Amino acid sequence: MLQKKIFKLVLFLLLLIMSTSILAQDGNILVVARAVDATGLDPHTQTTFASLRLLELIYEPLVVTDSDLNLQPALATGWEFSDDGMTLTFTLREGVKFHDGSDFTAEDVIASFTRILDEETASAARTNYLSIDSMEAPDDLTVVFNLNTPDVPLLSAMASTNAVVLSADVIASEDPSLVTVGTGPFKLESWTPDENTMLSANTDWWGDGPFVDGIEIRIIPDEASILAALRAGTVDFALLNDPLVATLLVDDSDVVLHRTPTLSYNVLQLRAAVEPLDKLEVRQAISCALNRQEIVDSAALGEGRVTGPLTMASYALPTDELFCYEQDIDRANELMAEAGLEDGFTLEVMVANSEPPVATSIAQVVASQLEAINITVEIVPLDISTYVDRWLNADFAGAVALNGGRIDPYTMYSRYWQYDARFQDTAGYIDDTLDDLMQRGQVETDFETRFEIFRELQVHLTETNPWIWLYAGFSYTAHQSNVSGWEPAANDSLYYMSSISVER
Amino acid sequence: MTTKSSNMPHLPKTLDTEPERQAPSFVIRLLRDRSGTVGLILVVFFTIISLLGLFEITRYPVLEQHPIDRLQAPSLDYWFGTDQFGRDTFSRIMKGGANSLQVSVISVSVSTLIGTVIGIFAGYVGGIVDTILMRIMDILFAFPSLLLALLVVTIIGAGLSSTVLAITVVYTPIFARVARGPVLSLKNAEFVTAARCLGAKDWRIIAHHIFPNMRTVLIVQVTLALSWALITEAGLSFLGLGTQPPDASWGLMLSANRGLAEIAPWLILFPALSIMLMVLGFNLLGDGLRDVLDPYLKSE
Repeated sequence: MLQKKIFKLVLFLLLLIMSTSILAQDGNILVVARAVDATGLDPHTQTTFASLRLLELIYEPLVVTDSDLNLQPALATGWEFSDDGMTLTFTLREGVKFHDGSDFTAEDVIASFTRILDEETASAARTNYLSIDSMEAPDDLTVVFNLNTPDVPLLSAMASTNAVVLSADVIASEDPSLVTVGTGPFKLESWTPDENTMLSANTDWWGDGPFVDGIEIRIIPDEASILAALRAGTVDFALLNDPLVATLLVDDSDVVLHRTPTLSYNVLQLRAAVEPLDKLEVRQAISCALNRQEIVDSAALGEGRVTGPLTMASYALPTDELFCYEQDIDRANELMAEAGLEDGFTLEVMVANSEPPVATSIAQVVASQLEAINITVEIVPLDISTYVDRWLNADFAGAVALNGGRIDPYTMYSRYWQYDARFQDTAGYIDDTLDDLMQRGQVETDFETRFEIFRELQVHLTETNPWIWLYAGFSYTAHQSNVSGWEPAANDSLYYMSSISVER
Repeated sequence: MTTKSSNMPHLPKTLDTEPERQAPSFVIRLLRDRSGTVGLILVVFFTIISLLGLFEITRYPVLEQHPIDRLQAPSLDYWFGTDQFGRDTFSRIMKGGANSLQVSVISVSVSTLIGTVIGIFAGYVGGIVDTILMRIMDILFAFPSLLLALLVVTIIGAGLSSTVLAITVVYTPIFARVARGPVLSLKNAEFVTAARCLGAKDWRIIAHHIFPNMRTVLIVQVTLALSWALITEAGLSFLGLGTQPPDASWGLMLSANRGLAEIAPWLILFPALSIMLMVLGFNLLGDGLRDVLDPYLKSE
C-alpha cells in the first residue's frame, strides 16, 4: 500500500512540475542576460549605461536615432526650426497612449521639459536644454520651444533617454522614480534590483511590434557566466562588454554575435591641475610615449580602434592629423627634458575594478609603455562607487575612464570643455580657445563651418593633452539563432528590441 | 626508560642520555616517512623558486611586456607561455610564489607569536582572564577564515600589508587554542610543581618548562597554517583584494586570466597547479612532522 502511495505522490509531483513548466512557457518571453543592473528608474536623472538600457524600452523621447545615427521620428512625427533659429516646433504623434491608458498630449511634453529644466530635479542632461526659454502648446498635438539663442545641437540632444516624455499626471502627483508610466514598446511589470526585471509587451504601442509577449532581464554579474548561459541555451539574448568574453563567440554556430562600434571612448584622463601634469610638455610627452594601437591589441585583444576626441564618423579626424598619435619615444624624452623631468616621476592612475572590464589591463599597458620615459605609474584599483566618487570630486591625478559619447560633438563635450561646465573640475583643464570653440560650435548652423570648428577643437585638445584619448571599443549583443529582427544601434540603445521576434 | 626519555618533558642534563643511539636525527626520521618526504621536496622546491622570484632572478623581468609574443603557448622561449601582455608566465609564477609565500610566512609568524602568547597567558593564569581571552578567540574562530579576511581587507583597504594583517587576524585564534591546551595540563605537571617549589618565577617556568614541551605541536601547526594561509592569500587575490596588478600572485593570475581560459589554458593551468602543489606540500609535510614528532602516533 505504501508503495502505491509513494507512486501516486511521485506521479502528482511530476504532473505539478510539468504543468508549471508548461505555464512558464505560456507566452513568448525573451530572456535577456546582462551583467549590471539599472541603478534607478527615473529616466531624467539616471546617468549609468545600465539604467538607460532598461529605461529606453519603457519610455520614449520625441525623436530617436537609428542605426546610422540619423534622427527618426518617435513621439514627434515632424519638427522644424524657424528661419532665425529661435523657435523649434514639433508635431506630435496622434493616438499615442501611456501605459496607464491616458492619452499623450502636448501638455505631457511641456510638463516633462519643465521637470528636466527644474534645478531641483537634478536632471542628468539639464545643461543640454538650457537654451529653452519657454514652451507653448497651440493645440494638443503641437509644441513650440522658444529659444534664447540659436541651438543646433538641441534637436539631437532631445534624442536621449534623459529627455523622454513622462505623463503630466505622474509628474504632478507621483514620484517618477517609483511610478513607471511610459509610452514605449514595453511596460515594467516588476523590478528586483540585481536579480531580474519583468517587462510585458505594450499591445497599444503605436509602432510595429513588439513581437514577443514580454522580456525577462536577468542580471548575471560575471560575463563568463553569461557566455555559459548563452551556450547552454538558457538565455535568448545577452549584452556583453568584455571583448575577451565576446570574441569567444565569434566562431560559435549557435549564437549570433553583433559587434557595434561605440561612441564611448577609453581615455587616460590627466588632471592638469595636479603637479607635474600642469606642465604642457609632460602631458605631451605622455601622449608621445604611448603606442595606442598596442594598447588596443594587448588590453582588448585588438577589439577597438584608435580614436581622437570625437568618435562619431561625421566629425572624427583621421588620427594622423592629431598631435603625436604615432609613438615617438625620442620626442617624448626631449619633452620630459624640456620640463626638467628627465628623471621622471610617479603618476598615480586610478582604475575601477572591472568597469569597464579592460580598465586594469589598459592601465598595465600604459604603465609599461611610460617606463620608457621614466614615469612610474602606480595603479590604484578602486571599486566602482569609490572610483565614481573620486572622479566626481576631481580627487585624482590620472584615471583610466570609459566616457560616453554623443552623436553631436557639442553635446558630447559641453560638460567638460567650457568655463563653468558641470564636470570642469574633473576635466582638470580649460583655456580660452577651447571655450570659444565650444561656444561657436553650439550656435553654428552650417555643417562645413561647424566641421572646421570641431576639427580645430580636436587638434587643440590633442596638442594641449588634458586627456590622452586612446581608443573606442565595441559593444556586443549576442542572441540565439532562433531570435530574429535585431539590429544594434550605434548609440547602444535597446529601443529597437521592439522589432525582435523569437521562434519557439 | 632510556627510549622513553627523549619524549619525557625537559629532563635535567645530568641524566646523560645518549640521543644518537636511541633515535635517529629528526630529518632522517622525516625522510623515512613517505608523505613527509614528498611534502619536504615540494616545499623546498617551491621555496627555492619563490626565493629566486623574490630577488627577481627570473627568466624575464616579471613586468616586462613583449607585445609581439602575446598569448604564446608554452615553448622553449616561454616555458609556461605568455599572457595577453606578452609577459612570461613562468617568471610571474616565480614572483607570484614569492608574494604568496612572503605574505603567508609573515602572517603565520605573527599569528604564531601573538596566538601562542595569548594561549599560554590564558592557560597559565586561568580564571576570568582565561575565559575572556578565549571567548574573544572563539568569536574570531566562528567566522569562516576567508569571510573574516574579507572583512578585514574591506575595512583597511586592499594591498600586500592588509593581506598580511587579514591572515594574521584569521589564524591567531587557532594558535591561541593550540597553545592553551598543553599549558592546562603542563602547569599542574610534577616537574612544574617541582620548579615552583624550588622558587622559580612564573616567566621562568613558562620559558624553560612549559614552552619547550609544546614546541612540536606548534611546529606541526605552523606548517599546516602555512598551507591555509596560502589558500587564503590566493583567495583574496582572486577576489581582487590581495596582491594588486601589475604585481604577480597566483590567485590574481587565475582571476585576471579566467576569461582567457579557452584560448590560453596555460594561463590558468600553471598558477592553479602551483597553488595545488604548494598547499599539498605543506599539508604532507605537516602530516609527516606530526608522525615524526608526536609520540602517541609513532608507529615504530
